[in-house]
Amino acid sequence: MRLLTAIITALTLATALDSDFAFAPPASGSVLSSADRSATSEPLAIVVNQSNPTDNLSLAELRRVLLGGRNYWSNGRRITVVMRDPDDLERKVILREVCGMTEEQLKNHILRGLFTGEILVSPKILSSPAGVRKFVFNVPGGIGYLRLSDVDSSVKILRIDQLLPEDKGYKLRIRSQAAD
Amino acid sequence: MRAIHVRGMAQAAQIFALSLVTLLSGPLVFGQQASDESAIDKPTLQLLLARISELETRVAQLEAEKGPADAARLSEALPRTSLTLRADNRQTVLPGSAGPNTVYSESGQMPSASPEPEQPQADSAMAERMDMSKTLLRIRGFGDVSLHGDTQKGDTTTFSLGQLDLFISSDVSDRFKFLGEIVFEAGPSSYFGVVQGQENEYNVDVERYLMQYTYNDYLNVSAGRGHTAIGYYNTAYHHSSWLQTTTDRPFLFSFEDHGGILPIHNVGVSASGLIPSGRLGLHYVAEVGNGRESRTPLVSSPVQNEVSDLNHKAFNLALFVRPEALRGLQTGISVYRDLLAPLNAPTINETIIAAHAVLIRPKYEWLTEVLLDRHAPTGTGNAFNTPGFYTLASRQLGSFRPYVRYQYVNVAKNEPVFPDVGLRYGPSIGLRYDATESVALKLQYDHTSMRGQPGFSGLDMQLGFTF
Amino acid sequence: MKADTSKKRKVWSPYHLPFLVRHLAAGSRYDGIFLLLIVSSIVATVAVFVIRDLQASNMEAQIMYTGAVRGLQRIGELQYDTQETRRATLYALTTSDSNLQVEYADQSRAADLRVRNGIAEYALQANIASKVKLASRLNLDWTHYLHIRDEVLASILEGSTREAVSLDLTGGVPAFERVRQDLNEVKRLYEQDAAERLNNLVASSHRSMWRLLAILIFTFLLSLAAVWVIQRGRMLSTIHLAKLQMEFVASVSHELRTPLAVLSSASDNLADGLIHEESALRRYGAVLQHQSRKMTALVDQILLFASTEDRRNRYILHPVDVAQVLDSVLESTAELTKKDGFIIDRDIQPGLPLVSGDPLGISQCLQNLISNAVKYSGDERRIAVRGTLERSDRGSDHEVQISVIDKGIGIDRSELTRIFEPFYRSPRVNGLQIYGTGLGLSLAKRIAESMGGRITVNSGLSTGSTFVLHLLTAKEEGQSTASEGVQHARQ
Repeated sequence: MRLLTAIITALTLATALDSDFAFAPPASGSVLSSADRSATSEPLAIVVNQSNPTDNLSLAELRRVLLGGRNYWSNGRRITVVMRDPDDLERKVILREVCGMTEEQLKNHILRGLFTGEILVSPKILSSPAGVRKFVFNVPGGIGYLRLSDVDSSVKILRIDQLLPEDKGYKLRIRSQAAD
Repeated sequence: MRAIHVRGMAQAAQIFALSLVTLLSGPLVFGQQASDESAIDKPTLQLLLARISELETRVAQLEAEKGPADAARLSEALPRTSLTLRADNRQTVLPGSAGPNTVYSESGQMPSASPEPEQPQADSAMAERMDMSKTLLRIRGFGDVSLHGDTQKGDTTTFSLGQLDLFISSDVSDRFKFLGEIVFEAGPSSYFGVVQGQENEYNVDVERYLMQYTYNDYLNVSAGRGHTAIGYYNTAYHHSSWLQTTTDRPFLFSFEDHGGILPIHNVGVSASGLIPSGRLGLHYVAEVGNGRESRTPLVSSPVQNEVSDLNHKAFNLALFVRPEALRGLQTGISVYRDLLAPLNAPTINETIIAAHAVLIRPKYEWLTEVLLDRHAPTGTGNAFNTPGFYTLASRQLGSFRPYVRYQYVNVAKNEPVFPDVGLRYGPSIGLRYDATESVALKLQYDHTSMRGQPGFSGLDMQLGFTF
Repeated sequence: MKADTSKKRKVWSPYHLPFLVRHLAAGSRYDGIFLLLIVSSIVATVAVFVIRDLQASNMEAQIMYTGAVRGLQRIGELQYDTQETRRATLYALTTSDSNLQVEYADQSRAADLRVRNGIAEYALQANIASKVKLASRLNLDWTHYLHIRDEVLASILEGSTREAVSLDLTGGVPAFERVRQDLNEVKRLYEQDAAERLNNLVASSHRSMWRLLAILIFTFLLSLAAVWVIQRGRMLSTIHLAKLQMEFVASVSHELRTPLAVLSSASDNLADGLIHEESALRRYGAVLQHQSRKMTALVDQILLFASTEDRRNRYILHPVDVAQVLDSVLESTAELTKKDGFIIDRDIQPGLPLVSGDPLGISQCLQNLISNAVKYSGDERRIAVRGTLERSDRGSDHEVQISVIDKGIGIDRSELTRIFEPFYRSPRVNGLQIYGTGLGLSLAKRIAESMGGRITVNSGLSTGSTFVLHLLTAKEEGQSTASEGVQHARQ
């Protein structure tokens, strides 16, 4: 019993000191400071099909959607998540800012989800922004992410926490440099 | 004067002759042109129309050849002649076929398009539906090999093959999904302390066999054999050791054929889904099934796959929340009710109450579950409570993940169902190293203390992998 | 006059002439080439219309041909693109790579856009009710198929291939079949259209051919008529000329016969020895002399006329005193004029400059004019001869005008130009029993023109005639210019 208590206490202390341990919303402070934001950074827009009735998602909801916690839109259409290739900058930003995972952790998460039956279908991988756009255009339940400059009128931009990509305070931004 | 008159007439006659020649040649030339024009038009039109027909036929041919994989496989299955005939010659009438066949072939469809009962068509349609390549059956394998040694009397240091788990999933349709786990494992089964089967002998278990139907986020129904939603560990971890952090499951959640005390598996129907609760993220699971085999000594598998020993069914209800406020947190409670009917003993009302709180984060995880298994034999007024818990914590450090676990279960000596378990408790400490994204090496040290028996330590080195 | 001529015409054309030919014959009076010009212009105008007609039918054939090619091309493209839409959709089933699937989806959408454009084009060009209806039906069916196609594509991209296949089989195939049948209908209507246009074209080409044939026949007939007219004109003029020559021969014979008769009777008398007295002998001799001179003069005149036929006639021009010449002429014709009791009024302007000419020629000219004046004076016995210096009508030079004026029977206006034709004698004077060769005036005109001058006439019926000989003044002393008579001579 004593041993147990000791172990638990130690762990609690360790986790309390952990910078990773934070109460909601975890991704509030993005890596970029406001000064950086004015530098060469571009908003990352979350896009869905034009027929999707959803207009807004909170960051937590977006995370749930992307990680397979939610499988259907409100109009009954199945959610199909579209991701980019593992090396793409956009994907890295999404993993970091929204999912809070590394590639490997995401892979494990998806595998586990498929294994338990919680996740119905793993995300689709597309190599180019045009591919993401076309996919979301063709699939009523599709959801993906694009740089704002890659978005066109064929897809619909979602508000994240009531903010559009152009608005101040929009959290998902991508820096044009390769450094992540 | 007459001479002049005659000469004038002669000249006139010459001019007449010339004019006649010109006159006659005119219409001939003109007529030639006209006929040429009409000659050019008609054949050209015919030619162009014939060309279109050719193109149509060619398109139909290409479709038949280069269409989706189905068509190719189809042509292997069916007599080749019928396909090519249809593609090439629009006018061909197949034996016993009616007009619609040619119509379909003209449009270049796969021959299976027709719902006609005509023999080749029907066959092709059936072949189409049964075409295995069209199913999205996916098999994912898990396995492990370990080297185990402990201080318990009678145990040897041994290499052992863990469970070879074939995880099968198939997207049968948009809403139906098949999930299955077929496990090959070696070694005897141990049910409530009773050892069955030969050592080192492989046998196959269908551990999970589920058809899942998804209606929406609020309702998912699955039928078949799956893991009972008791606590957290049972539904989060199935038969893959690679997926779990430690080398083995907590003994509270051991599999039935490894001496486990809980009804890990259930054969029945389960419904689960979200309960609209905003940021709370409330989920539910409701199950009904055959429950656990309750005859002791067992004559067959404890999981009642085919025949239930009682009409009474087992029920389970679980609720858990995943609040948005704290990412990665899940906490919940479950209640399981069943009626056991051991041989030559009164029936036992089984109630299992479990509560859990887990925090799974990318860098660390922390799992804690507490469980109470209550057996109340009918008519006696007694109740045997078996408490148990475990707690597991681990931290990711690069590719290494050290972990520590403490577990406890206390079974009363005179427990009617599984008296052999007794009191067990002890820590485990280990390190997991992810060599690659599919291979993990684990080293774990356990110390288990027991009631009335000397405790023992064990060291386990396991190579877990997925393929 | 007209009665005469018609009588004469009837002599030469014994057959009954139809209305058109009579008018054509009337037209033959006029220049045959002018008539030919009229005919040619009529034919040219009609030919222009025919050519226009031919061009129009040729243009229609071209339009029809290109329209046919384009129409078939459009139908072919429509059919191909509909197949392409479906094909590209199903190709997406062959791969599980989302990138490729999206590419196929793109191909399918591009093809269906082409189809929609093709259908819209067809609808725009639909000009009959059946086509309009067909276009809207095709559009509906295609839209319906596209809905199914979109669902199939979505299912494929989502990964639900079974759904996609079954949806395509149950929904896509019948929908596509309807589209295909609509396209077949389009083709059928098009073929109908083409056949109709072909028939129209054949009919119009036949029409043009018949029209051209009619034009050619008409042209041929018209040319025949023109040729006939020209030939007839020539024939008539030849006949006329022959007639004039006959008249001339008759006239000459008559002129010669009178003095010959006198000579004959006088010589008979002398030969029979009926004349003894000297005075009678002298008288007879004078008569013989006179008559033979008259005959010689006539023969000279004829010979002179014949010589002036030769275009190479040359006069050597000298400066000539007109008054002198005139006086000599009056002297030589005094016998003729005095005998008949004519009074010649000589009125010559003093100080007339010298004229450029040949004295012999001028005197011959004047002799003719004066003898004409005598012959055609009728009852009047006064003749005036004037010589004046006037301004020339041509240019700024002066000219000498010698006028011979009589108050005789005059000349009809219609014959003023004809009297200078050789052998021409007015039917009027023949009727009045005044005989002559018809050469005098033509000779005088020739001589005047060969000297660089001219003769003009002014006359009125029964009021007399004024003949004026215009002569150019001599430019230099001793000018001797050989002039070709051909310059002003008329044939």
